[in-house]
Amino acid sequence: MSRVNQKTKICVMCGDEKVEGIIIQSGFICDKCEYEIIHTEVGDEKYPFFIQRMKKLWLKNA
Amino acid sequence: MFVRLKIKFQLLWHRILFFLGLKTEEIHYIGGSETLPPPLTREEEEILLEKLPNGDNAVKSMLIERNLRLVVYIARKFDNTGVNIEDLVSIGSIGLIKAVNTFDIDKKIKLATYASRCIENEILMFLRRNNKIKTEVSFDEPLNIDWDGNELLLSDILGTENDTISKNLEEEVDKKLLNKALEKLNDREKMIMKLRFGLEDGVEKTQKDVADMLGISQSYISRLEKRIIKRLRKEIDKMI
Repeated sequence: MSRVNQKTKICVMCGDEKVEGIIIQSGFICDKCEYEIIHTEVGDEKYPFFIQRMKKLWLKNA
Repeated sequence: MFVRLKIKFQLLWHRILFFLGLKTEEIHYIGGSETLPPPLTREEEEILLEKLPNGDNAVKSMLIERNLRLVVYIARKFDNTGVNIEDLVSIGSIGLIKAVNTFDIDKKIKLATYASRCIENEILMFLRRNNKIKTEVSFDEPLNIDWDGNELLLSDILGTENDTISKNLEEEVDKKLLNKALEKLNDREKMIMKLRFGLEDGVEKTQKDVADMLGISQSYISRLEKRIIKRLRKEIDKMI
């Protein structure tokens, strides 16, 4: 019996194709980026990047 | 029982879509006419929270999605802070993701209560940080760079002159000496000095103005002035 492969999805944060992660509002965030988001503070260099990318969950043209 | 089945079905649907990599075309716009998914009922939330410690991504996704209204509601409260609503919703969403990942079911509080605090805290931290950046200036702030690439820093131009402290003291002493010397003059001479150099009100009048006020010619005021200054200098020299 052949095993059906789980489809990869493009992460709205890193843009990579990944399998595992969460889906919010039809946007996919991979496990690695989710972990990074949780461990990023407002003063961190990457925080503004996450703010911008997070808009992709809400706005089509973000 | 029905609620449990409903949640199970929703989770299954979520997993199927996830497995197939399909995206639903439900993109909600902030302030748009489309409504966000409704919040979970207490029972629905309890069922999902039971499964949360297993790290099930479908459960996490549902918990996050069904609390998005909370994010928009809280973000709108900070609408008057100068940060645009899209940014506020993004920051709130980060707070919500953090909340779902750090929620402790043993604490026996509602996820919405905990999430509200996390969302609000995330936005407040951002605003505080932003305000700090706006009002703070670093001493190492480069003001200019010359042709050789040398930076002129704010700290390079800051500093106090060597005589900053003594200058004021000396001025005070000079004032006292001048006042003492003025006492040696007659009333008309005193008046001329006060009017010409604004010793009382800080307004310096011209020789013409003073001459008109005292009913004498301007050339006479000029001669008197020279004589009075000479005398004041002598009086001050005597005191030093």
